[in-house]
Amino acid sequence: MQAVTTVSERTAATTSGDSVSLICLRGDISSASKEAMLGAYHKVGSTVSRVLLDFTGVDYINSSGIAIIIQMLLEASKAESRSIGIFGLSSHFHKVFNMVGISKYATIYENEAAALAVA
Amino acid sequence: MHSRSHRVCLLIAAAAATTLSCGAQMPVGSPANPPMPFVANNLGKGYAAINGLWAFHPGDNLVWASPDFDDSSWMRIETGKTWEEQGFRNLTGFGWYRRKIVLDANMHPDWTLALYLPVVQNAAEVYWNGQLVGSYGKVPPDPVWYDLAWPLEMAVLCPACERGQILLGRPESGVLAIRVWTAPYVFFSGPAVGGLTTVPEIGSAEAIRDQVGRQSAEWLESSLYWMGLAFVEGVVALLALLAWLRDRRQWMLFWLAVYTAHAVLLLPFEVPGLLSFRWGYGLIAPVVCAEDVSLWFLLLYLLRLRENRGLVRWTLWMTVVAMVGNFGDGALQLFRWTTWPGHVFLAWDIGLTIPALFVEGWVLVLVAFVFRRRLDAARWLLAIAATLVDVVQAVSDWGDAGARWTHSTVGGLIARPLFEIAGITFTPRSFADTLLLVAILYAVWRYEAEQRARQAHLDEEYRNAQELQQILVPQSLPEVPDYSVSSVYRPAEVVGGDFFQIIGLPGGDTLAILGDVSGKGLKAAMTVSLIVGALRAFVETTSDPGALLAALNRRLHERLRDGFSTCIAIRIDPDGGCLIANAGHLAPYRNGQEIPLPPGLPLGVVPDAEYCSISLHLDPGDFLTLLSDGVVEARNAEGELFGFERTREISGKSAEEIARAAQQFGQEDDITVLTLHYAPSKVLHA
Repeated sequence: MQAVTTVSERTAATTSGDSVSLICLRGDISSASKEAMLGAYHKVGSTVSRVLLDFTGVDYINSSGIAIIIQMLLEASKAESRSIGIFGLSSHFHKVFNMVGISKYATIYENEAAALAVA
Repeated sequence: MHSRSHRVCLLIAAAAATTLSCGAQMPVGSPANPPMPFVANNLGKGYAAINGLWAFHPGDNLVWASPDFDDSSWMRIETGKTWEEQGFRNLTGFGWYRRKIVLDANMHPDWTLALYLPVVQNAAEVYWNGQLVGSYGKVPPDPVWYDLAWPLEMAVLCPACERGQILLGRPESGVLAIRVWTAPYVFFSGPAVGGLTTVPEIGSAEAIRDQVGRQSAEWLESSLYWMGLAFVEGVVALLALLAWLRDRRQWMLFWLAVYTAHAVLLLPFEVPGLLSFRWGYGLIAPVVCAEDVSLWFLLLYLLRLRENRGLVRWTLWMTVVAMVGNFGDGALQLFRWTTWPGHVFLAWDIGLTIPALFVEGWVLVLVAFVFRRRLDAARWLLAIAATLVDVVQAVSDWGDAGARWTHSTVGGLIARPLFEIAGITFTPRSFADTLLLVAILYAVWRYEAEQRARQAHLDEEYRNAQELQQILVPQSLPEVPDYSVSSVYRPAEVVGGDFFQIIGLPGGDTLAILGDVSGKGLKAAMTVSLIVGALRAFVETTSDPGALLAALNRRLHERLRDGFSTCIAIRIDPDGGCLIANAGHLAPYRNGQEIPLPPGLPLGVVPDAEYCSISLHLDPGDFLTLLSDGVVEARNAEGELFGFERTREISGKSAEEIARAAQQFGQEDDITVLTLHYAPSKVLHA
């Protein structure tokens, strides 16, 4: 019953005028999403210091999907000059993300405006 | 295997055979000896071939239809031979034949006189005493012609025509004028083309009708074998298609359906006069392409070549080339190409045909990859049959390609009879096609048998894994002093990635551990066996939940290949003492309320993760519920999650009820529920 993951990228400006890369995710996130998600993340230029993951269009994330997100966050944590923000999570997955410790590696915001205001 | 060129070759071969059997080449005649009238004496109710010399003039002028026109200065020519064989090299377009027909005065006046032209290259109009009485196909400006060396009964166009004959009216002498049009050359044109390539026949309508019927019957008899073969292939195609629709992962069946369906799809092209040259040549391209491509992919499956990714990738490229060549050439024919300059069309025709001819040899490349391997009888037969068919096709196509310039006669050999059984003639091509069909069916049978054996083996392996997991995930729970324990384990597949363990410790304490490996199925189940093994070993050295999870984490790091495992460990004692540590797992519920726990990374993510043990004290009657995310993330048909709130509401129920509720909502993942009810005997009995 899982829906296909679609991933798109765009850039946006923070309230302070800095440019950030946004990776917009849609559908379900599972093991089948790995190539699309990591591919999109690897496409972000090495000079980009802030990446935001938009989960607004995500309906479902299973444990394999969470494993992919953690893998992405660990990669980012190795690049010292890059930080990751997350927004658009449903309350259910907000709780799941907290539970598995994702909040240690990424800041979770309510929505895009909040993420860009802080960034 | 058929090809577009094969159909053209039939025409060329038949025409060549007809003309070559007529003896020495006749030079262009001198006007000094005008052609003699054809005198049909003693015709009776029969018919006669209009042999001998006809007056002939290249070009076109409708005045030449008149019986009074003086053709004494025209050249002489024979029918039953092409123009080019009689000295008119490179002549295409119009040319007129004229002949005076003298009938016996004793013929019965009630008879109807009829004319029959078995083969014309390519279209003709027939004039009798200056009147247009019928045509074979249509001459320009909008030419329509037919490409088969069979009786063209369906190609005859005129109100007074029936079953391939043109009715001339009352039996009386007159002048027959035939306006013939020969199409521009194509790449597969024979060495000599043009004109009336069979001898016209004249006689009573009845006799001509019998003659047409006889030839049709001969055609039908000679076609019975390939029609029967097409029927068999059609049945196989239908069965394969139905089987593929039932299980669309079985792509071998799809390619089998396409390959065998091509024989049925070719039927309209083989029936005389059903499709004109333009539509037949134009539309056969997709069928020819499907035949080639489906055979390549069928060989990839049946000869076990799919693991060679490079070969598969090249086969896809060959498919693209075949499609561009065949579809392009087919589309070219559908345009009004006869109005183009001849050399322009020919350049396009050659340019698109040659790549398509080259890729036809891809079968030989595929087969070359297996000849060094040890093959069973079915695959040997398939490899040999596929090679034979490809060689036959290559000889035919390359022999006929550009034959009017190379003068090759090799292609004609393929259409010659090899042997005859019960009146049915077998050519090298029909023999090879039959052998290939038998070989494919045999190899498919073997392939399916192997697939079934492999599946049975896999099922056995899964059963073994399931048995192993029943050991790792206990079916019957050990006695836990002062606690009532129940559990439910429902994997989403045969085996799962959830696990739990109840381990008795020295001193009466008990460890309850529940976890969930990311992913599901066999890979997750194998990780479970690794975790449970490590866990059992670590319990020998520590019973602190936090230390246990940290040790497990170190063991699992870099062993889970981008995955992880969540895990919760609880140590309980008979006095209600309780220590909990959590590695990213769902928090447990106590009497219907979630126990707040600090977040913790799942096991295997980072090497140095630490987990703290939280201390609780359980009161008699307390009810602890541990569960996996298969409960909270059960999802219904609308995509709605079961969620934390529903889970909390039912967390005080039995393990069986909780698991059933999640399953009925919509199971997506493995579901595990473990409940611990603290019921100390000394308190209850006090």
